[in-house]
Amino acid sequence: MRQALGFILSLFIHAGLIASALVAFPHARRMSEELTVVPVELVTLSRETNVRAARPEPEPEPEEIVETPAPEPAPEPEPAQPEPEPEVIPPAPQDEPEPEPEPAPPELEPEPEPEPEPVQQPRPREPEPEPEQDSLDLNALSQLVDRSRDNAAPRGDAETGEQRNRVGPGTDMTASLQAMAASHMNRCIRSNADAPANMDLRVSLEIRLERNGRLSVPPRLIDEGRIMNSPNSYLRVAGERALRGAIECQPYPLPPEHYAQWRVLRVNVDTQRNR
Amino acid sequence: MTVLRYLFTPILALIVMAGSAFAQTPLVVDVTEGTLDPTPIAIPDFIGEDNREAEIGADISRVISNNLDTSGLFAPVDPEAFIEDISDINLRPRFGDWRVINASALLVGEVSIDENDRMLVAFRLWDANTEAQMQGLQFVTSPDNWRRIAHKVSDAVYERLTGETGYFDTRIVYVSEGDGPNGEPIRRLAVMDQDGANPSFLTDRSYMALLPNYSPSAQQITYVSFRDGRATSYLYDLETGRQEALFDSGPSLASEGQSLSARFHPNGRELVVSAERHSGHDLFRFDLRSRTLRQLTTHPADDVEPSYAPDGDQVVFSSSRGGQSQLYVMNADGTDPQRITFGEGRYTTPVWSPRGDLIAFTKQRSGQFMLGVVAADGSGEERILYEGYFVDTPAWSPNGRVLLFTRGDRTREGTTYSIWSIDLAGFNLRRLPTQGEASDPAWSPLID
Repeated sequence: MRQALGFILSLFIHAGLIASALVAFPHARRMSEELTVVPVELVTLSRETNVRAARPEPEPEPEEIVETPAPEPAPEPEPAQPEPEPEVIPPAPQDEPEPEPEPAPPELEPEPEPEPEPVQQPRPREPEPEPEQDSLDLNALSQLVDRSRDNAAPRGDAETGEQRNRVGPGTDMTASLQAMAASHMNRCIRSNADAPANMDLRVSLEIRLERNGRLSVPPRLIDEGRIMNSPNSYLRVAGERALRGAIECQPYPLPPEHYAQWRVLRVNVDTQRNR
Repeated sequence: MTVLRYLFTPILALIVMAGSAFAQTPLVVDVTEGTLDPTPIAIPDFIGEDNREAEIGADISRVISNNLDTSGLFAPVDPEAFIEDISDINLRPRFGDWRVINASALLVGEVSIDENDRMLVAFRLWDANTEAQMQGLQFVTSPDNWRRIAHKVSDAVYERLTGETGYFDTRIVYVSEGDGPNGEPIRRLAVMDQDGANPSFLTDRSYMALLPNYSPSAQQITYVSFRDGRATSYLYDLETGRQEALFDSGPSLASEGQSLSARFHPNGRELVVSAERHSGHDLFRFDLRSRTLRQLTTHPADDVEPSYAPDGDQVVFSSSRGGQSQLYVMNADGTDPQRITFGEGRYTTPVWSPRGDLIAFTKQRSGQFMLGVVAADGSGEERILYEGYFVDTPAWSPNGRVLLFTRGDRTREGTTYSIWSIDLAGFNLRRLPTQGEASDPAWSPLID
C-alpha cells in the first residue's frame, strides 16, 4: 500500500515538474535573449568609401544599453564613454573626378546629326495623371478596420471574457481579438515589401502586456539569435522593425475584460506574403 | 483519508500550474500587411564648436534630411518640434523627448576641423524606441568634401534602417537637351550628384551625344555619338576626360533611338552592344582590351538594346523576331534565347536590375507609354509602375530600388523632356532637378 502511494505521489510530482518546466523555460530563455536586443554593428569603412575614416567608434557601454529596455520612463542623460581619440589620418584626397567641363570633341567632324526620334510618336493626348500619391489609402483602410473592430467589440453581458475563456473554447472571441490586434499592429510595424521578392523575412515576437495595453516587458524576438546574427541584412532589419513596431503600437486597444486572453501575444510578422 | 492527505498538496500544485500555463497561452496574431508609411527620423543640425563647423554641420544635416526624404522611406521630423537641444553627441539623448514628437530614429552628429584643416564628422544613429545605438561612425576628410560626407552618412543610415545599400553617394550622367541658334537640336552629356548638386557638362555642342551608360567602377561611361549619319560608340574616362571611339555601330536607326546603347559587362572589361553589320542589327560582345567584336546573335530580325544580368551570365534584349518587339533573355554567349514577355504592345529598353530578380522595360500600347518591371525569368505578371505621354530609357539605382526614366510631356512648344524617379512599388514619383530639359539618365554605382 505504501509502495502504491509512493508510486502515485512520485507520478504527480514528476508531472508537476514537467508542467512547471513548460512554464519556466520560456522565461529562462528570454533572459538570455534580452541581452542581445541591441546588435553591435561595426561597419568596415574601407568597403564603402574612399573617404578615409577613423576607426569606427565603439558602441556605448553595452551595460547602459542593455539596462534601458524599459520603454516607459525617459532615462536621465548619462555621460557615455568618451570618444576615443581619433586616429591621426591625413585628409582624404579629393578623389572625386572633376571632369573637364568642355572636353575636346572626338576627332570626327563635328556635324550634329538630326535627333533620332522614336518612330512611333506618341499620340497627342493629355498627359496621364501622375501616380504620385499612394494608391493605398491607409486612412480609409483604418476606418474600415475601426468599423470592423466596433462590430467585433464584446457584448456587454454580465459574463466576463475571462470566465468564458476558461469554461469554453471561446474561438469566436479569440478570432476577434486576433483580428483587432492584427489590425492595430499592421499600422505600427513597417512592411518589408521593399525587400527583394521571394525572400523569407518571417519573424515572430512575444509581447507581454499590462491590462492598460502597455508593454509589461520589452518585446522579444523568438529565435532572436538566428535573426539578428543572420547574414541577410533584410532579415535583421525585419526583426528590428517588428520590435520597433511592437513598442510604437502602445497602448494596445484591446478589451480589458478579455485581458487573460491577450496578456501574452505571439505575433507572426510576414509582410512579404501580400506583396 | 490518508491517501487524500498525501495527494492534496501535489494535486493542488498541479492545478495551479496547469491554470498558470493555461493563462500564459499566447494569443497568436498574424501581421501580414504592415505600414508603408515612411519612418520618422529626427536629424538635428550636426553640432560644431565654432561658426564654420556649425555652418558645415547644418549643411550636412540639410543634405542628409533631403536625401532621406526623397527616398520616400523616411520622414524627417520638423526641427521646430525638437525638444532636446543636442549639445554633445557622446551623451545619451533624452529619448522620451524624441518619442514624444514621434521620432522613431534619431541621428546626431558633430563636425570638428583641426588646425591642419582636416574635418572630422562623427555621428550616432539611435533607435528612439529601444534606446539602442544602431550605428556610430566618423569620417575624416577635407572641409570642402562635406557634401560627399553627407551622402555617405545618408547611405549608412539608409543601410542600417532598411537592410539594403543606399544610393546617395552616386552620380547621374544624362543628356542635356537644348536648341542651337538655328533651332537645331543640341544634345550634350552632363553629370551631377544624384540630388542635382554639382552639375557639369562632359561634351560640347559640336556633336550629338546620347545613351550614356556607366562602367561598374563608375570611372568610365560609354555613349553614342551621331555624326555624318552614322553612330559611333565612345568610351569616356571621367577621371581624365579622355575619349576614344570604340567601333562604328552602323547607320543610326531613326526608329530605334536606344538600339545602339552599349552596356558594360559586370567585369568592366567587355561591352555588349547592338550594331549593324549586314542586313539587320545583331548583338555583339566587344572586348575592351583586344578591341574586337564577337557576334552573339544572327537572327534576321533586329536584336537590340542588350543589358547584362548582374552576374554577367545572361543578357536581356529586345527583338522583333516574334513580330512585334518583345523581350528575350539568352546566355551571355548568345545561346538559348528565351522570350520572357508575351503581353500586348511593343516592349523596349530592357534593363536588368542590380538585384538580379527584375527587368525594367518600357512598353508602348495604343498610344500609351508605360514603365514596368517583369521577373527576369518571365514568371508572374508584369507590373506597370508609370504610364504617361512618353516614357523612355529606364535606369536602375545601384541598389535596385529606384528607377530613373525619361518622361516627355506635351506642351504648346512641343514635347519637353525631363528625368523622373519612381520606386519599385510605383510610389514616390519625383522629378530630378536638372538644369533645363534632360533625358537618357544613367545612374552610377556607389562611388568608391
